[in-house]
Amino acid sequence: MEFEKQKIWGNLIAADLFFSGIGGGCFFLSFLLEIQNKYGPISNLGEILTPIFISIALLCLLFHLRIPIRFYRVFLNPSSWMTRGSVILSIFFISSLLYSLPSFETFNWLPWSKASSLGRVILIIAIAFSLLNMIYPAVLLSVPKHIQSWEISILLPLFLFLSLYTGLAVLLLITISYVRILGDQTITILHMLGKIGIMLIIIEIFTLYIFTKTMLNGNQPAKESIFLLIKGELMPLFIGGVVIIGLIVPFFMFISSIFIVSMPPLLILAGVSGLLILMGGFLLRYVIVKAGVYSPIYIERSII
Amino acid sequence: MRYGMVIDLKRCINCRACSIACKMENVTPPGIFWSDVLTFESGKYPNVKKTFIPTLCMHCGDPICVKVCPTGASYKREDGVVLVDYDKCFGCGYCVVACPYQVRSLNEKSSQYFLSELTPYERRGYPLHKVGVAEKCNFCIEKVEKGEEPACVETCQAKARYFGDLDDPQSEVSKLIRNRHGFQFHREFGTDPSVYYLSA
Repeated sequence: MEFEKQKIWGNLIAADLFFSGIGGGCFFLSFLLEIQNKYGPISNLGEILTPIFISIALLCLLFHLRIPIRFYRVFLNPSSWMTRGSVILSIFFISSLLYSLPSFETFNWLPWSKASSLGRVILIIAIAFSLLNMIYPAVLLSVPKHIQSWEISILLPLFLFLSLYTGLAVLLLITISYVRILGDQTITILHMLGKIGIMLIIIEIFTLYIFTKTMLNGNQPAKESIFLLIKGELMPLFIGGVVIIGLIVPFFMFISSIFIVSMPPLLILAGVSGLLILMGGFLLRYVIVKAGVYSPIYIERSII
Repeated sequence: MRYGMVIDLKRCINCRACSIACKMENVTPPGIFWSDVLTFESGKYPNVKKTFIPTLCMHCGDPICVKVCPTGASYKREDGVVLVDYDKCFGCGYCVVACPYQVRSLNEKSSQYFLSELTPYERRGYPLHKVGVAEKCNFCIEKVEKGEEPACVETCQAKARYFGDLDDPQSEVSKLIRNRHGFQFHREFGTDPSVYYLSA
């Protein structure tokens, strides 16, 4: 019996999930840095970049549509998770933009600042929607129940931590770009981000292990999905791109970076690991989307 | 009133006349079959068996395609027929991915069967289809509204297909489902298809 995988969704949907995930993770982690009051420039830039990532995500969704001119119709069916997701993305885009605007002197005239009570309300909305934004792709994918590998209970933590992980990569790259302003503080920040990275990698590997194990214990279409990842056409992307490039190599780079206190090698390690994480983050979303194998109509042989 | 179909797998001989009749009636673009026949082989030599499973849109009672469609282009009529409004669909493909029966297609690009130019028949039929939207069987609703049967039912030489009102207990389809234990595929997804099958 041949199993068919879905062919409709590909690069652009994966890119949409990737950039929206980065936006969510980047904003949430920037907020965590901000409340520590020590990493102002980094958290500011992280928050400013968030609406840009969300715009790119929305553009990817737009270009995925075969008739993009009808994009406005995406908001017309509240029972659809694509509609709900677009609402979540839009609210997150607006709230993160409104929250980050006071960081620019040009927008001093705005009636709120980050510290004002209105600013706090905007922040709370943005934080809530950043979390929703990180988990929404799992719900979007889990609606077609006949694609067993898109099981929500596993995809939800996978996408949540993946978003944080890719958000962390952006913060790493921001830190490097701010090395002149931060000076020696860069080392402390990179060490701290490295430790968070190690933790997220361990969680991500554990989640991926649970994902593959559960699917291999599932029905045949679920197994076929995993076979595609571990020995099929998606193997180079999954094993090479996601596991090795996206997780294992950055893991060892983070471990070694803890022991490095001189700037140039640390910056190189952080920069390379940041780029590798982003690459792995995109590929993981891509292979999950592409490995959606249908339950064939004729699998129920007993009733025929 | 709920239109539905019963397909007798024992009678299907895989002649695919239903697929051809559907193509002729609806002039679907190359590569798109609203009505198809799957072949399922079971057993081991010498005790082997081939079963032919005609498929089409199941016009589900609780259609997931309607639920997932963000634009409201997919909708269900009061008579149970599920349709796509081509003027509203923007081709996200969510319904195609979400359909458990894989009977929806995305009309990706304008194409034709013959390289030189469209035949007069294609010229008449292709304007009915729009590039970039989701497509599927519509139970030949225009024929049904005139009191006729869908093209696949009319053309089936083996008399494997029956069409009628599932809500009417005296209709042929209801009697067949009742007397011959008609079943639906993928009941586990809770979509309540309006297409029933009789065991081979």
